[in-house]
Amino acid sequence: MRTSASVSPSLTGADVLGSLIAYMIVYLLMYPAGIAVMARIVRNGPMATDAPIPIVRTAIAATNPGE
Amino acid sequence: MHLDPLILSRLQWAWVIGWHILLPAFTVGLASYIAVLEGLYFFRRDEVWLRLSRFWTRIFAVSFAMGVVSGIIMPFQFGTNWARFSDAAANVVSPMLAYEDLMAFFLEATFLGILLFGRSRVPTWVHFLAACMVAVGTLFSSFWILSVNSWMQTPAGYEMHDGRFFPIDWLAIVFNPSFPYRLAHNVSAFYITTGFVVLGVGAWLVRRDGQSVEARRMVLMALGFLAVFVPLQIVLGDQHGLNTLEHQPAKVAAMEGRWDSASPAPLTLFAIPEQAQERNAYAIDIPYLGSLILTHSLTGGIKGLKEWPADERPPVWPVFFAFRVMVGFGFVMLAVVALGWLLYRRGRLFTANWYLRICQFTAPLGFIAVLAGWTVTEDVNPGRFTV
Repeated sequence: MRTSASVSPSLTGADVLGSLIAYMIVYLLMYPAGIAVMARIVRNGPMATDAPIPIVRTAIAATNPGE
Repeated sequence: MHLDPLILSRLQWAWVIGWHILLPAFTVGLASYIAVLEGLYFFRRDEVWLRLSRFWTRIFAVSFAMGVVSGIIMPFQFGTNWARFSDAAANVVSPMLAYEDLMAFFLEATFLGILLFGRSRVPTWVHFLAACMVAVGTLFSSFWILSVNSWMQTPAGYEMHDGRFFPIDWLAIVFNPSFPYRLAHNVSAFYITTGFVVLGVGAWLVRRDGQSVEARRMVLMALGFLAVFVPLQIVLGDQHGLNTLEHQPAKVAAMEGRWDSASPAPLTLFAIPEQAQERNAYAIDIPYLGSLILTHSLTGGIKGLKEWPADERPPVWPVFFAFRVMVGFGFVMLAVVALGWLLYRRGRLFTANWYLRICQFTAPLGFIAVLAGWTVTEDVNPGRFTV
């Protein structure tokens, strides 16, 4: 099957150009951001501890008066 | 200015798949690495393995999220830009993509939560199991996606009715001729890509922290793994090449820059292929070597591109150069790994600052090789044919 016979018939060049530019902007924001986050994890190193998940006991007590 | 939807759609596809493939290239390998680290912690109870697993799981979470987001775009492309392809091939392609959802994504979605948030909530063995299931999920995903991709390259097990593909033999479709070789070569490439990232990160941490046990284990694990997989990958690549020669000889002719059929055929190390003139400029040829590599005999014949009509030839220039980038980087990787072992045997691995710097710079090599390999296989996708 030829590639030229595979493309959507209703597409206009402007449609594809617009969405291509949008994809470019989103990817060029997302990838550097993701890489920056991963680089920070690397800089913190393997000795860093996971952030503790706070357990809000007072809130549980307030909703469960029986405790 | 006339905007051609076909060329723009191909550009858009290249853009979204090019970025997307970088993430599976990393997460498939990293998921397996985390499963190994969890297993080591489960059996040995050494806190170092736990810290390593936590460290890489944090990075995995970010890259996995990016992989999912960029991956969702891909099936949308089928609908928005390639509707006629979807219409014609849906009977074959859709069930395979659905199997990827059912097998890979369901498994990953279930166990990723346990891997990321379950450390203090489930027993260690369950956490190890979750890591294994996520790793298996990424491999299932590779299995189905590469099966679809291979079917598009070497279609089998179908009948055509009114311009649509209808499946008649699912085993022949899933295990189409190029699939086993493509799967092995790709998954091995993903593992090696991850291995070089682990090596590079470990090397940087050794340079910064000196005595860090965690960093040293990263470097040693990566070097040990790569010492097996880089040579293995060269063998797998050779096998994949032989398979391509059998089923897609025009692609091999483009990879080799071979215009005229020849036996024995030389190996063209470097040249500037000129598609319109059907020849190579500035070619550097080594006699017999082309036949030796491709047919494993000194006099084996190789078909040239002129055997095919001009409009059925792949674009030679990108395939030819991408192939050289892929193979060239493969041998650079081999050299880096061999050098690392040499230094290790002399007890200088962790003090050779220059080598650790080399490891940092070679960390992204796998990604470039994967992109180059993809360019070879897709001949700057959808080359001339989608199926």
